[in-house]
Amino acid sequence: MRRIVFLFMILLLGIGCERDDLCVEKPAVRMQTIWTDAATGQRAPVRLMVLYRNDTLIPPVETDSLAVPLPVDTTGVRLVMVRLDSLSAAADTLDIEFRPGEIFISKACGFKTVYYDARVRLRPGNTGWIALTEVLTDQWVTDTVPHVKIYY
Amino acid sequence: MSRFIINLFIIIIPLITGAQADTLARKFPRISVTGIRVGYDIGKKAWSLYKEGNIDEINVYVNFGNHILGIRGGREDMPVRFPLYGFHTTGTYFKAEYAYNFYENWPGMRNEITVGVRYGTARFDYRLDYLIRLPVSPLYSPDTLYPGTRWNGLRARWLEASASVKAEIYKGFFLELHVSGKYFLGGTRPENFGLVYIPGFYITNISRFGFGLGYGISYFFDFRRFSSSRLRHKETPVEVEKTETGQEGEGNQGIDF
Repeated sequence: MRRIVFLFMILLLGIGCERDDLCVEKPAVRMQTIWTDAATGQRAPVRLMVLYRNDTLIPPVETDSLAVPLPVDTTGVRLVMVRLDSLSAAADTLDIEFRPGEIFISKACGFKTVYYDARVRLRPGNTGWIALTEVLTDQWVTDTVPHVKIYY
Repeated sequence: MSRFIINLFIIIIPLITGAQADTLARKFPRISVTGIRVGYDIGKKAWSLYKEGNIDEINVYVNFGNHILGIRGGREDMPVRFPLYGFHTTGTYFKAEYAYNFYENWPGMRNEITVGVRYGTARFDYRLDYLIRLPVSPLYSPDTLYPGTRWNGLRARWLEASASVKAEIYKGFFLELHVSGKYFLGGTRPENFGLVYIPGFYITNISRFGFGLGYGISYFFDFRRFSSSRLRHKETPVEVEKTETGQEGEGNQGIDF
């Protein structure tokens, strides 16, 4: 019987073995944009890149939906959208304002940064390749729904 | 020891010792209290001090032969640190236990090898000390916040299966090693946070299972059995044996400490 008890103790030790609690979530929500042809009103791919303070935030990509990373330590950011599929250089600047918050995800992930009261404005004096921005929701708490529709 | 532990001693021990034991024996003639064990978990204390916190856990067990009933009570004040956030937890917990001693002692020995089950409950508070916001892009900088958010009056409960070994080292003093597998039943989840650490249960996991390990010291008050047969000896005249010198025999002298 004593051997059974000791085996039971070893079994209880085995309960302490847990699979690694890994985090697969991104640490912050990204601005989910939908790029739409202003003439047809339909989603249309465009080749572009995104700059932050003259550094490449998103390298050249051709897409009709783009997830744009945002900072977590400020309440706004200025990004330059550079169109790459036109004959002449086209770069328009967007001012994005928000109030960062956090949502608890799990023990492994901790908190995820989300953005409330978000606004997107097209700066005046641009080349004009972006015609209009439409904020679909000002509560950016998940990456699974579009946040901003950009007409070009 | 904290005032909490002293109060626990004051409440529990008089319920069992002294005249209460006779009362118990009269009401439950089939139950024989053979001893009481009082212990303190020194392993948790050392670990908590290493982690810059404090855990005090005492346990009181009543032996009915090989059947053992007991409670464990503890008070925790622990910092919990993860890479991206850290918080403080303070609270108390209680565990009620039934165990069975499988060890067959030689005469005069009082060692134990037990297997048992426990039901645990805790009441505790959290205080979020810091959290780190990480950006998705390396072009941005991380940010550290010190929110100080509090969640009070949280509760949790769980089940444990335990096994322990108690060995006498010196005249009633025992060293104890116990391991336990735990299963989290449920609790009140704090708003925009999780039940990450529960006093008495330790770190929670996705699977709801947990593990415990303890190392403690205890003192065992060894009683003779307060059985109904002993009470009948007190109530009815007993024929006293006369020795060769004409003196009466010693008979039963009472509780053997």
